[in-house]
Amino acid sequence: MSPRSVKYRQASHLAQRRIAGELFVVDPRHRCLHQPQGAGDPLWEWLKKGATVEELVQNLLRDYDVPRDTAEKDVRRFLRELKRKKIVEEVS
Amino acid sequence: MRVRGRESLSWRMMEAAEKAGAPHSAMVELTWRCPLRCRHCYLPAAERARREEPAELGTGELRRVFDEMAELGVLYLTLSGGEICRRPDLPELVAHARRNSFDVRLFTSGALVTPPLAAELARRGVARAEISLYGREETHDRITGVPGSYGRSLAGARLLKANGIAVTIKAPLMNLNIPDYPFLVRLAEEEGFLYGFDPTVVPRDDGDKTPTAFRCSDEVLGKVFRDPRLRVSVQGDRPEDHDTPTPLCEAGRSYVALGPNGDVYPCLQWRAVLGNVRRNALKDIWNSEEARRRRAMTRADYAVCNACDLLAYCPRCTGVAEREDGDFLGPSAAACRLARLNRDVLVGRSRSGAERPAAEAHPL
Ligand code: SF4
Ligand code: SF4
Repeated sequence: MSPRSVKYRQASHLAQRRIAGELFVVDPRHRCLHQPQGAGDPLWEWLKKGATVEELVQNLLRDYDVPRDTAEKDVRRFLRELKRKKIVEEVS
Repeated sequence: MRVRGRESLSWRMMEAAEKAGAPHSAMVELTWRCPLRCRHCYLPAAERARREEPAELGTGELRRVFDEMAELGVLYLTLSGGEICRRPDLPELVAHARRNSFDVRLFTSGALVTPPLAAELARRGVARAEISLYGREETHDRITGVPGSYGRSLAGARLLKANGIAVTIKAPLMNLNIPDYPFLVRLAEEEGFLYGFDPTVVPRDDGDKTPTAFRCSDEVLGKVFRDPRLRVSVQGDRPEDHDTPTPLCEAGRSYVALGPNGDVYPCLQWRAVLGNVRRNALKDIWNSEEARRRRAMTRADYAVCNACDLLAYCPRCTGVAEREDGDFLGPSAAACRLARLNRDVLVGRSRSGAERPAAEAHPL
């Protein structure tokens, strides 16, 4: 599988809820609470079902008025952060 | 209830829950039945001894309640008892709770956990379990009244841990088990469990004060509070963390609780029945006049405690204040005692220049 076709998805062990419009994500394994903010909020929602980097970029371009390279940078930075926190998983 | 620092996300969540007028945490008692006979238990003995409980909510009813809780905004769901493993539908309930994206935590004695059950609970998405373990074998079995229960609980804890579930062993600090707490700390460290101790021993739900005879003396507790391994988990919150956005207690505000028969309470420690999910939707109970009236209370309603110099050191529980001292808005004699001890330890420590530990180490 080429790196571009890798799909990412929210890790299955997480718990989450939107309260008064704010999203709270619990990682019970690492006893942490997270909150995706800004563009991270919709990106996180798209990761519920699973998405490739390109799909996430396309979604951002569709919903936000940003240049493509900014969207791509945002997506990659966000995914890096999620991987570091171990709250995203790759799906084949 | 433990309050986090203002800058933390937990604090933000509490504020969001306040804004939404909805609970973020729910405690659900699946049953009151239990094979153990713990001497300090707050449930009346007759309830625990029942072999069957026809009044308990069934699987379908609990699934519906979980759906309603998720819709209301609950994120943290604790399944408690009695002994939850008495319910054969426990794995199914956990699975449904996880489908609703709750953070599911189990309170159990561990004594009925078998290898297949531990594997099933892990597979269905339980991440954390808290197991009551009171001391060495002899101490534990004497408190539970059931020979062999120590071995079964420890085996249960090990099974859950081996299946990837984070296990916390917890115990109340009583004159029945106080010499054994260092043993429990060592055991937790050797086995890779977390641990927590609670100095609060409360009267039973039916008003029976027998368990309060098991409270430790001031002298003994004072010594224990000074133990650097425990002091954080037995003390109230730090003074600077105590500036809450709400009254002194989150019961009925960001907490909701459910008894086995569907009664809804502000908290399991405060069994003021707000309604029953068999008769009404949880949302309607939560938004009932009675529930709103309680939520409308402010700190000023707790006049004595609000003006108290010890408030910052105080682990006061509204439910215990009502049960033991007769007024949920008033002081709790048991908490006053612990507040004084906390203050003495904290003030002594700051005088000695010792560093204050992080507030979130091993919270119960
Ligand atoms: S009733 Fe007691 S245990 Fe429950 S939220 Fe209030 S203070 Fe905490
Ligand atoms: S319970 Fe006692 S120590 Fe605690 S705040 Fe009230 S009066 Fe003060």
